[in-house]
Amino acid sequence: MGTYRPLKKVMIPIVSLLIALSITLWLLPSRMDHQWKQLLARTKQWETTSYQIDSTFMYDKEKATTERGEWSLQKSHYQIAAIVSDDSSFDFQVYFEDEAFFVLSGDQWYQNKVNTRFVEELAPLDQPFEWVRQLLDEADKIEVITHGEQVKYKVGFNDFNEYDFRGSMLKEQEQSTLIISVIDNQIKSIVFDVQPIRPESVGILDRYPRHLLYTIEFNPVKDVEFQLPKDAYESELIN
Amino acid sequence: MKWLRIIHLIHGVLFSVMLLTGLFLFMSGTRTWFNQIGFPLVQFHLVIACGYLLLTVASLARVKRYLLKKPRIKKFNFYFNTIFFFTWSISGILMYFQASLPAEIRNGAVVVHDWATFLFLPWVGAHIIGHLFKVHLPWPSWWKKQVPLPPSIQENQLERRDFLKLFGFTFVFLLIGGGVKWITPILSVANSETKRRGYFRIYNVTNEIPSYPNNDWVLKIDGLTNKEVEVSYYDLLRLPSTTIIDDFHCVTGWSVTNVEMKGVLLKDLLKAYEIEVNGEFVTAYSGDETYFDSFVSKQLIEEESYLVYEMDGQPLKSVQGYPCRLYQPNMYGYKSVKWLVRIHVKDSREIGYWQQSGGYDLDGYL
Repeated sequence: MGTYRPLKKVMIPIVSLLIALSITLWLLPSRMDHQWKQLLARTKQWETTSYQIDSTFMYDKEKATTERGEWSLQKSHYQIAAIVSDDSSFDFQVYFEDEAFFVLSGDQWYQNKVNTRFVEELAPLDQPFEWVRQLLDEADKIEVITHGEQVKYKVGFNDFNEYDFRGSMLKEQEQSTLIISVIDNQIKSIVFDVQPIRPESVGILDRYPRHLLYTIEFNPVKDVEFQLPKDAYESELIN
Repeated sequence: MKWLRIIHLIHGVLFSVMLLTGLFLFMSGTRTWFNQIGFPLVQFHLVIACGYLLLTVASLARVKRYLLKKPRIKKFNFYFNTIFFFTWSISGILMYFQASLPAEIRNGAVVVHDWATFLFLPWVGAHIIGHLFKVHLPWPSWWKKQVPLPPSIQENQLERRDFLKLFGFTFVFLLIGGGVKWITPILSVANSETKRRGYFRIYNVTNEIPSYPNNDWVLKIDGLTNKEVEVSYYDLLRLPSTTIIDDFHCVTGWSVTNVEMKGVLLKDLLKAYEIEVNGEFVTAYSGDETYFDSFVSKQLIEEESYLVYEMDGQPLKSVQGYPCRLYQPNMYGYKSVKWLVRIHVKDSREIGYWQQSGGYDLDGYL
């Protein structure tokens, strides 16, 4: 057996290795960590701008809703068409103002606070960037694809911690992604492509999607302005 | 020598008092007991700490001159104590001025202050036992006497080149490790920014925690209102609830981040029961029959305050204020009256419990 003397000749590299290993594990980021933080910071930057929004929600490859409107951090409004059949849809308008929302359906106004089931069903129209940040919390991988001025952030999910998206409880995922397209530092679109695995907790007779596809397109606008009539503020509550 | 003995004795007494008061502050039961008897433990700890700080700073240079001529164990004790002295002093100063510091720094200061104490305890124990009972640990002679070092120790003494080697190796390993981690496809930061961090330290002013078997709790709203109302636990659960995820800050320096709280906005409750608040001030009373705090009415209604009954998806625990506590997101935790049983609307402002006995700010804004 060899005698290592002085002992410090061996101990110094070992201590160095332990220090470096600790710093690497706890403080240094992976490329994915860096890209994730970069995307998170960008969502905060993007939400300072107002946008015209066009979005589509597909349920099992069938168009379920289309939404068109304008979004800003304080105020947003949308014209929503919920597809009923091939040639008919249920149309209504939704207005978000601070902590409240107002719905105009036919000639009738309704209102409530934003933290209701109704708004959950419309998510992420109320706060699309907050929604992206919530999804980023559940991310399992991230990839950045660059083509000239276009940058695509592709976020992958293996599972969600019981995430409810428009009435479907998402848990384990087959291959689900959130793709955010950016041109010249401006957000252009978000595509949430979900291929969920049916949770065992969902009953045999309950409807559960094989595929969900949600697309939002963003076009910057100067500002979002609207004036709601008095009827809206005095309208009855909707849940 | 006589001077040093006196300094050592005063140092020992001050340190022991400070250690004991610090531990009493740390432990919920003793902290509450001192609150009950009305002893200003925090202020006492601070005064002793100032005396300890002044004594140490005044004697540090002279003690160093004396001890550096002594055996290695004495030098070690000197440097060991000095490191802990500065650790406590700096973290203590940061804790004192925590109101003007970011949460990360003040939380860090609290953790460092606590852990420095726990890590120092074994040394204190050994030192006291050694002095009191003349117990001598079997240290090697080169450690406790002024004798030449044995070759096995002599050859391992660290020199400048050893430190350079340490930094050099660390740098190289960091480059290799950092590079490997950079290209490894792992995402570890997701969820870390919204993760619950920290833990609650339970502070009460009485050791008897109110209990409400069978949920027989009632919140009374009275005073300058159009009507007097009593709300039961089940009435509260029936009202529209609001959930917030917020950082809970204690005025003593610690915080718990990303706490999920569910409850009813006070303004929603007032609206649901058609209660008109006609007074400018509100006093909130705890079911412990001792604690209370006061607010300007608009601080609870317009700025939004919550009657919280769930934390992190679970009903509140008894020590957290079950079944209901007040929560004003813009204020320190001492304004969140636990076991809330009465909201009394008045036209004059009461001086709350901690404003009377602890000098805390009346509004308690973060």
